[in-house]
Amino acid sequence: MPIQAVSAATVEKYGVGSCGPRGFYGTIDVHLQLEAELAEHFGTEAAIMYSYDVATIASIIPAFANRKDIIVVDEFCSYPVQSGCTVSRARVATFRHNDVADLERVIQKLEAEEKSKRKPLCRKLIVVEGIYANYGDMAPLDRIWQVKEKYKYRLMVDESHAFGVLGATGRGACEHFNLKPGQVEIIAASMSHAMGSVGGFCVGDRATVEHQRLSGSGYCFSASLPPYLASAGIHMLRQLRGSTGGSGGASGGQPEQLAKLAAKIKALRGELMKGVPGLKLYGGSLPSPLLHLHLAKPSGDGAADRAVLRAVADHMLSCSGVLVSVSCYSKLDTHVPPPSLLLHVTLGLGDKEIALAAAALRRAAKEVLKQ
Amino acid sequence: MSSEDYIAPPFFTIISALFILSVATLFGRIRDVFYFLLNPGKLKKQNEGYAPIRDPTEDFYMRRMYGRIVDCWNRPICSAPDAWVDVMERTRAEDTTGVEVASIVPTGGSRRCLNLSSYNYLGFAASDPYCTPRVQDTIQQLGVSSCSSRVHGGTTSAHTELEELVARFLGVEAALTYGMGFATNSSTIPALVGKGCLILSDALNHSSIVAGTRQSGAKVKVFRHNDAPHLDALLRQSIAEGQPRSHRPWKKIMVIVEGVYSMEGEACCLKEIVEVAKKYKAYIYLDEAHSIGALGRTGRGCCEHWGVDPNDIDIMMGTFTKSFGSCGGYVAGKRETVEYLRRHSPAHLYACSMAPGCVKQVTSALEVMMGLDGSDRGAKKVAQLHDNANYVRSRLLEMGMDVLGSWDSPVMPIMTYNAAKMVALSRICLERSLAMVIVGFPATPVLLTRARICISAAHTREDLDWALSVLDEVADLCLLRYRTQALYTNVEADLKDHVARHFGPALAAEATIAGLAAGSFDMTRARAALRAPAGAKKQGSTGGAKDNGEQVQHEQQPAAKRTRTVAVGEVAAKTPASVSVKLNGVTASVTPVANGYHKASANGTVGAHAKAFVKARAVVAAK
Repeated sequence: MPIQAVSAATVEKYGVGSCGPRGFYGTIDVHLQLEAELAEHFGTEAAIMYSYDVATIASIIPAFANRKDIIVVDEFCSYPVQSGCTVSRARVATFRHNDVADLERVIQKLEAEEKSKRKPLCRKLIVVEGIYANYGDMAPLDRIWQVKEKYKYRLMVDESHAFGVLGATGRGACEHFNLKPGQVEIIAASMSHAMGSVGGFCVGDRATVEHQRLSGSGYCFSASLPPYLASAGIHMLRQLRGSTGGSGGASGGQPEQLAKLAAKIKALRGELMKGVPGLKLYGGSLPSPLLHLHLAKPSGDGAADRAVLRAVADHMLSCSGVLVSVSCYSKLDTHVPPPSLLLHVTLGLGDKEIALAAAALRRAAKEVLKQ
Repeated sequence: MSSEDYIAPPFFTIISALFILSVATLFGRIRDVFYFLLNPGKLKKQNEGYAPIRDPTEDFYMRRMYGRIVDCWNRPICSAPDAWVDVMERTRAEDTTGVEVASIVPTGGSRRCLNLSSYNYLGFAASDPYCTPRVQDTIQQLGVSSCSSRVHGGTTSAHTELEELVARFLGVEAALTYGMGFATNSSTIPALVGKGCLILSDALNHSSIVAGTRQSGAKVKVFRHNDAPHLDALLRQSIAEGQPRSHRPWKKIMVIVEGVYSMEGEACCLKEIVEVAKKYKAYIYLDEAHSIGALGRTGRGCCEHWGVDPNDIDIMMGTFTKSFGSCGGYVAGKRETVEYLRRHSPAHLYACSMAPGCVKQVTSALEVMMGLDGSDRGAKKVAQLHDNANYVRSRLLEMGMDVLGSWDSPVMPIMTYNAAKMVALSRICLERSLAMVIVGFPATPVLLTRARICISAAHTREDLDWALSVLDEVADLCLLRYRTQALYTNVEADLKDHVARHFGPALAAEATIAGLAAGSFDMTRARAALRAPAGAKKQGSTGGAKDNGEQVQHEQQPAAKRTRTVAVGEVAAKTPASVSVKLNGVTASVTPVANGYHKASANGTVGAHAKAFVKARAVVAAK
């Protein structure tokens, strides 16, 4: 049954909204079902759903850190992570992007300080993203995990862009780096990317998840996800799992759909790495479906650069019929990334489309950037 | 004044409530001591160099106290949250030891209960003959989700249609929609105010507002719940003192209130608060999460309820979760403000846009409310909701229960004061097929635990009579008839005031709670009588008395004209220019340094930030 039909049927039965937070009769059986299936897919004890993607990590972080605690976070993390850190009021330290040595340095400094002040043991958290939304590159989770184990920090990974893309069964960047379920304490992801629905979720052991049910503000104080979106999520998750032959770990090699997607990512990235005049692809040949193209020679003026990229995007749309977007950041971001041209690889793209997109981009870049 | 000021639990109730809490704590502690003495390994295993996830007190509360009554919350349902709902039965999982958080699992069975808990105020939650087919068509056409943010291709025709309709419904210039009500507050507030600004927040504001104010970095001061004089005093003092330490004038001052407070059922005294805010030239942010659709004769919320001009409110925020049976929220106001938010609000830039099906649900529900579907269903729904709410409120008060809240408000908390009574009430009611929400510590103070009823337009009078008969019995079982006289007298005075404002002073004399409960005084008839003479005027409201006529008038009146009809006569049309004067005016009126400071920083980023609120385009172009 197509996903639209599933959704329409759910709307008929449950209506659209759930009209209440999860605690107050807003928990509908499809929510429980989706949570159970997510936990099963990730091989964790439990899962919890949030009704909005940006609210997911922004409410999980404050649930696990308050004034007394420490958060170490990658400097290039996206806004939801930043806002979660602010709301938590914890002590926030940043480390250089994807620099594990710097992470270790920051942690050592913090540890020394804690020791000298003889502070009681507090909750410590490292927050990274599987695939960084603002750059499209991946966190070196294997090495970060070693640091985390060494210093007894908890690791939180935002898998929003990696879930359903990376790993043998599509569990995300953790699986890609051969981390077993449970090795990373808190995994959060958005359901609005690969899952084609709306909302977000978090998986972990039972204590972690149950704690959020009382402390996750976006969970407690917000109406739950409309049931039809939950059932759409279930439908997609089953498709993903069906194609991977269940959740039986990383045994059966790359399943069909994930392999197809990986091939497409490789094709487009390869195409663009051959060179686009005036633009450079961030991250090179990483298996990330999120492509950020920056100006090769940025003028230093964000607004002007953005206007140039906007012109490239407009040219691509009007002359070749290819829709790409230009990244757009709020003034609330503490670290504003350079403006970039944003491309997403999806399973729906064929070889022809990938070639078309690359050609369109080249043409647009040549014509716009030359002026 | 809030009705919470009039309640006082009897002395014996306080003693018994505290006694029960102490006994439960004591027993929990004893059990913990024995458990960890007998299982030393368990304690050690949890540590391992990591600090525990929960702090020990909280952990104890969760395991030994909350664990006992965990069945009263998170009850799953397996039907639409309509007037009647299927509540799934649950049982405790066997491995619950009290060392871990209790886990209860569904057994598979369910029980059909009367739904007094969902925020389904207008009855749009279930399948609706007008809305549902449109939603299904939209899902077919636009898909389940747009999978991208509003700025990156997540904006569909449905979104723009909804934003236009919301602005039209509210009578403001423009609106912006988000996919989640919580995120609407938590991402709009930091975009509007920042460091050097002052937020005056009502003591009982929702957690999403708290999250937003925390993110903003602004100084937050809390005024007593619904207390305009306190707000006045606080504002005067804050303006005189200026920013902490530097004593510079505040860049912006924003007063944040809610239309109806979700745990009190109380409508915000908007008129007084608007007057105070105007006096000191502060911005007003009104969160209408519970009042939009529920208050006011045509469901246009708190402004209509009090006869306040929506253009006097700088930022109107609300959600679609409640009355409109969908999800998401909106921010509406001046076009400049909304355009500015479009450029800088994180939820607009980064979050996946609202699902098209949810968008269509709101659009079609709004069409019904505005009579654009060609029927008078919308008007009937609001009238039915008010009748239901007022009837139940008067009956409960007559039964001697302590019920808080305002007339017309569909939310009514029944005070239990005692946590044990609250739990008993919830369990007994569920046994008798009544689904009700209970709220206790830490969401409320320890002694102000309560059960909460939400009335819907979908409830019939028979449903409610049945529910009231059940509650009548349960009140005896749980000893809930406190009969606080001060509360009753105050609520009756409120009723007279309410009737005088909405139906004219003539009717106010005969309006009593007893009369309302017995049916001898009927607001429906009063409304019908009011509707009959064509020239009848509704006090302080925006239009004539005829339902349909009023709606049409409301929509087509140009903004400038509307300001003239406001009861508070001194309103000038607020063009962006005059708003920026207002911005400087706050500071200018207090200290002579003000003008110099603003001029000096006008070219810097700080000045741009301050101006951004009113001159969005300048900043959009600059950044």
